[in-house]
Amino acid sequence: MKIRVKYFGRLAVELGKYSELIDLEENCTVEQFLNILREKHPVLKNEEIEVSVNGHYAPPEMVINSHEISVYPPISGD
Amino acid sequence: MRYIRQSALVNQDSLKKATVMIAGMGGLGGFVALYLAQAGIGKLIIVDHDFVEMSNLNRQILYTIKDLGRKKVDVATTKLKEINPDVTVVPLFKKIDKNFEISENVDVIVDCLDNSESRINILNISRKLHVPYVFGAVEGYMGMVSFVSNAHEKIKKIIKKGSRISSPQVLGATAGMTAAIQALEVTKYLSNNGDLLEDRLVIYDAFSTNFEVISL
Repeated sequence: MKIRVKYFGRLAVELGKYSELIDLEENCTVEQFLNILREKHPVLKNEEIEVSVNGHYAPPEMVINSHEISVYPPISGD
Repeated sequence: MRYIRQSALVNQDSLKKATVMIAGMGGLGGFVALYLAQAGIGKLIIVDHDFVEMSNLNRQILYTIKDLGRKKVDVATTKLKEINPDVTVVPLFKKIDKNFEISENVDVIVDCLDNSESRINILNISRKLHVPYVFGAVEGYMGMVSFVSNAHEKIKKIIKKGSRISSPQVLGATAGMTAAIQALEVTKYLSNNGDLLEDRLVIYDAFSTNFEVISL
């Protein structure tokens, strides 16, 4: 299935885009998605990335059941 | 007369009786303290162990070039008393490490710190004291805020991963926008009105003009 991935913060800056379509297999977990994402975009290889699905915090084991997900970097600046 | 333009929006007596601790008086803390002092919070306990540096001046609203080298909490106390003499300001020149303790009663803690270790310490203190914890962080054009009542473990996971860049690029407007949301959450909570950002994380990316609200 094709899902729309929205990028936030420095992830969008590093990729030079705010969103893109990515093809995922059914029952893909968040962890598997992140592996696919890092393989597709080596610039993200060492990035900490958090994911939300349907507006909910998505832990690594969660199965992606949405056509749109958001990815964002955890940040700590003041 | 000072509060007549907000009298229908907040419970002014509750704000006056409240004590709010602001951890970190940098980019976020300065704006949070400014807005809460203007709103008429009774007591602000401000905590920081840094001195004003030139590199602070692009975003830290309470400091000017005349303040270079001075303790941030001392400068901030003077400025906040000028902004609203009715507010009691308690400056604590301390690092928020594992030994940090707060002896006064506080109603809410606002995290405006710049590193994960201190953030975890203050989160743990809020949990121990059973008071809400208002998380805020900025980087680049992006800000995050959460009003944490129960989702301590999930916000802790996010905080722990957030230490990758020690001195990130930050614009004053990003810090101001993020701090404004933090201050509004405190004001709503103390006034017992509005829909809090409770155990939800708001992310605002000003570069792409995208908002996202995530349930934790």
